[in-house]
Amino acid sequence: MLEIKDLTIEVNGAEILKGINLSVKKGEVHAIMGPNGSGKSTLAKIIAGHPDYTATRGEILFNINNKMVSILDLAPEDRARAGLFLAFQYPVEIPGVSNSVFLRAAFNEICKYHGAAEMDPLDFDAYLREKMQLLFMDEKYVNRPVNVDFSGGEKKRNEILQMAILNPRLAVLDETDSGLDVDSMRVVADGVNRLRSGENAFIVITHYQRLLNYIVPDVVHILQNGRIVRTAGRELALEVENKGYDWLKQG
Amino acid sequence: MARLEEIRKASKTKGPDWLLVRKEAAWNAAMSAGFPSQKDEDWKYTDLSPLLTLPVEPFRASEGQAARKALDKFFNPQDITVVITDGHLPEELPFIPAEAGGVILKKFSAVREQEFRDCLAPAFDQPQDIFSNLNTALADDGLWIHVPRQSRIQPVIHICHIINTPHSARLCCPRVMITAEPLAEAQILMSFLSATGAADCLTNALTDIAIGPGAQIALTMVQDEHHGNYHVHSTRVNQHKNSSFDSFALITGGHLTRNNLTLTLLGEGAQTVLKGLYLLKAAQHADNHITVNHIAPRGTSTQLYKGILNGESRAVFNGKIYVHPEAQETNAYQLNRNLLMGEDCRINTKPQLEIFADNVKCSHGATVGQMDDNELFYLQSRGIPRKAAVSMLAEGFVKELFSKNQDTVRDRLLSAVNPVIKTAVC
Repeated sequence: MLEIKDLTIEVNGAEILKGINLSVKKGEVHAIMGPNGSGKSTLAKIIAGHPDYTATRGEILFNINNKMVSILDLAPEDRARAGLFLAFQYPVEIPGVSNSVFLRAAFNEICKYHGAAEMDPLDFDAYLREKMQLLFMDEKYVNRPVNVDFSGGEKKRNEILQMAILNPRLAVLDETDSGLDVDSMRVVADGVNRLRSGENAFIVITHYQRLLNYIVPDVVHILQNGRIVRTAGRELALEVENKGYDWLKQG
Repeated sequence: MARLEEIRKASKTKGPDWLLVRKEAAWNAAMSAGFPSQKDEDWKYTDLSPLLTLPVEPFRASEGQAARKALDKFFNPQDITVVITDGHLPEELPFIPAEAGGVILKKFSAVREQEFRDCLAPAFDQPQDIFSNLNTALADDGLWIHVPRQSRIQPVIHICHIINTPHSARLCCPRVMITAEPLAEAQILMSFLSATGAADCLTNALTDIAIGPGAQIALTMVQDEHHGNYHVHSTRVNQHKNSSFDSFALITGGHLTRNNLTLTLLGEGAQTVLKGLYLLKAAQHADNHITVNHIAPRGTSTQLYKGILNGESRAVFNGKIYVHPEAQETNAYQLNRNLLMGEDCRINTKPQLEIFADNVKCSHGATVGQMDDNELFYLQSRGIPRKAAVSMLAEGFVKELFSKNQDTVRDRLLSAVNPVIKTAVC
């Protein structure tokens, strides 16, 4: 579903990512772990198409209409409509734009892309409320401006809500667990698990293995200093939890 | 303005006796003062020189035919609508229904000397600048709206100024006076529209409002004239004890627009809310000059003006709050926020406070910014195309101005504003 080949990114002359290779198949959950500054968030952002990052080398291929297509030149909105989703580490506050207006606009863009009819406001409202209930989100968040005056936990739930509504084929969760208490983390993880199917895939970026107790990965990668230094099964996350990252430097 | 003299000659003898005397005095004052240049602090960022060389002519009554189409945008059949075409009042003023609470509409030509002295004289006797003097000197007539004591006027009173001439370079000087007796309430919509493609016209409008004790006036102004026109509108409001004034000034049209809004809080506990929005593109220029004089204690004034600029447009915001020594316990706030969409647009903003009382709460501020890249990326990453994301953010920027308003006039405005935003930001 996603193939990253030799992806290299420079920012201000410094290489942030140094030849990343990653292959994600449908039905899989990949975890990417690594210390601060290892390039995890940069990887998430370039997959989503953040304008601040451009690849100096390499490719990102994504399965669109059963063909592996290079997406580096696609606008962020085109990637989203093709089924990519990024749950932001720091969800952006947008004063003046109500959450429901925003969510419906996004949902209808995806519908349009797939040639489906747009949902009218009443039907969408029912659809939205049903998804919110699954995430135990208070109804007051429907009409508030996007992420404005949301607590840290509510912002992260709002990200998962967007994911539930847009139903992407590949979702990248960028430190969705950071700043969450255990209960909120469980709610968020349940939300993700409910969406898991044989047809979609997830990349879960996290510092801690704690989240991976709830969202169980098939593959764990360790990203360090812009490189993937180790790839293994779930047990790698536990090893990191016990030993930290330093031991991997030699390996 | 080469032909002012001719216009003056034609207009000199028109109007009731009480007005003729004032026209004479205003003309002489205007001629001795002359037009301001950019050396005048009040006109520093607004260049009038192209206007001064225009060979303007007065509008003639016969030029105005059906202007209905231009009116449509803000028209509501429930309103009391007065259409002022090319500066000329209609032959007959509209019928006033019973639910209008006894509001009186009168032409200056029908105002008797005694009524003038009782109700209108203070507006003529206050200090005038060149544009208000020219308005007085050259207007043939004017409209007086009187809201009697304790009456609550249900329908919106819509004063619709329409430029309907097919000819370019015409001058019109519409004048409106609004007087509200104690505890009266009314909502006024004043729109300036173009029905034709006539450019280089100058509207020099003057509006005076006197709000009696405990009375409430809401005024919504819309400047949506042809993008080749000049527009100067001075609005002067005197507020008495515990009165309230709530205004909204929308500028989407005009080549050069200057809105002077002067508030004087004469009575204790007067409240005033001033909001404004300018949406400019291409070579449009809009200048909002606001002065709030707090003369009496315990007054409150709040200003929030926002602008979205595109192309090579220019905007000027100059807001001055003046708190006199007697105006203790004044609350005065002022904020001007701007969104610049292009490389070549410019805003000159100057919030200003002058405080001579020692027990007051005042604040002022201004922001100038561009669209936030992170906000745009966030919307785009959810599948919303860049263009739609830009107008969504622009609408969000503007929404604060409308948020707490339940009334229908501002709703009408919002539905007119959103399509403009879509074209202004792209």
